[in-house]
Amino acid sequence: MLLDILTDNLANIFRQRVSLKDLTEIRIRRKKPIVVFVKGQPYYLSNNGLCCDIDDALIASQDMINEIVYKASDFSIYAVNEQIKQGYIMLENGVRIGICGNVVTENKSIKTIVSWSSLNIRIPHQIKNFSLCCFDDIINENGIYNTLVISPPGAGKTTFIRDFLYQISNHNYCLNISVIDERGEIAGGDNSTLDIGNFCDVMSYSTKPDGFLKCLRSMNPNLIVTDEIGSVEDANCLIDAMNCGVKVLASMHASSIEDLKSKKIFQNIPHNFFERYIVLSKRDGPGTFEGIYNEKFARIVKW
Amino acid sequence: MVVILVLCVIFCFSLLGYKLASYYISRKKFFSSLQIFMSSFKLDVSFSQDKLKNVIEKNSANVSSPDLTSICSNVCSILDNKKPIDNSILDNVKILKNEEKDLIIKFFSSLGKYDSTNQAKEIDSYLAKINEMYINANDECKKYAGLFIKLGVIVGVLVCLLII
Repeated sequence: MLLDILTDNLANIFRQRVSLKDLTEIRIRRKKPIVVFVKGQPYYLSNNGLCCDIDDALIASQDMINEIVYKASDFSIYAVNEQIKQGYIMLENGVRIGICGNVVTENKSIKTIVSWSSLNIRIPHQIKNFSLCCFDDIINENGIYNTLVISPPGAGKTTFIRDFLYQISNHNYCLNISVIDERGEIAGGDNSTLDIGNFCDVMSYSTKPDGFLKCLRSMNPNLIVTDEIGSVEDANCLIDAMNCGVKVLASMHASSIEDLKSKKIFQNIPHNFFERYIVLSKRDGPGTFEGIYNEKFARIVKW
Repeated sequence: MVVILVLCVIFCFSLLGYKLASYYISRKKFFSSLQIFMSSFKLDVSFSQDKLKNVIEKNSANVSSPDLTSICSNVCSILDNKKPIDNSILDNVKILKNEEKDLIIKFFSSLGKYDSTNQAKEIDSYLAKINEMYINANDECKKYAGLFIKLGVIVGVLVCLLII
């Protein structure tokens, strides 16, 4: 699927010279060298595969960027324009293409993005047992603790959540789990090969307020899982879930507990709402566990 | 025997006349179908926002021109292969002039490259040009299609008279 959306030249290079298994990100910027992240490490992409010399690097053209976006949209920009307005296009299997360019606005609302200048192709990975070291600290006799996973972008929040869902199933905790997968990254959308276990009901491509409301009304969840709390509306969804007695596993961008506390969105969430905080970083590469904190921000596990 | 021969000759020349006329009839049918195709396509893009290939497949099912059906089928094959639209979509289409071919290729190449509002505007601008082509094709059809059929019959009769 990833190779289908690349230009023929790029697809051939990746097919023949780059291990897709370890590929995490492809950065394509207009008239700039193409950068590829493998196991979190950046490399330039050349005709001979990965390289460290900028002189050998392939330079991205506007046509290349256009072709990738057209292919990613199945040649139907109008059909994915709602996603483009949010700055990304989602592919099957949770691959996300972040898009930068010129934003077209009308009456202060975004109509679309044109003249695409940068693409960030992020490839999700299923890392089995990634969350296992935290599993027993999040689970209790009544189900699970309200848990917030925090890290900077690209440090493994979604991978953690995905594996945690798999572990719940693997450990045979028969919970009704509603997954509000706003961008299709957790479950990977239709025809996904990402494994999130047997107990998840996935609401894909829904906004969090809509998804929470629908799932609370109709799916009788014990646990609601969502990615990247990023607005006051998102935070209010958590409160609604709490008022209904439903547990929440969510993630948020923050580099540390102190950073989290200073965020206005977090300040809107009731004190002690989250009972566990999992902190991830990229210190030793993406997915480095920094610690687990309780509701009083006391570190209960340190690595 | 003579009567059968006369009928055969008249039939053959009428058929020849009809064949010549069918070029103009096909052109008229093609542009008329294309107008309908574009209008319904525009509605689908604006409201259902289905993927391009699905919209083309759906709308080509209602098209009466075999040439347009062939183009749509070629476009869908190209989209399946994730390749850009090129001249090959007009393979097997022999009723179009060069400038018309260029416009058709440009039209199909432009599909799916804009948000729904701008895509609808783009279709409108092509629709205006296709309308002009339809008017010309319709005029030519009125002028020449009937003429060739009549000429076929008349020439057939004249040849029969000469034979007799």
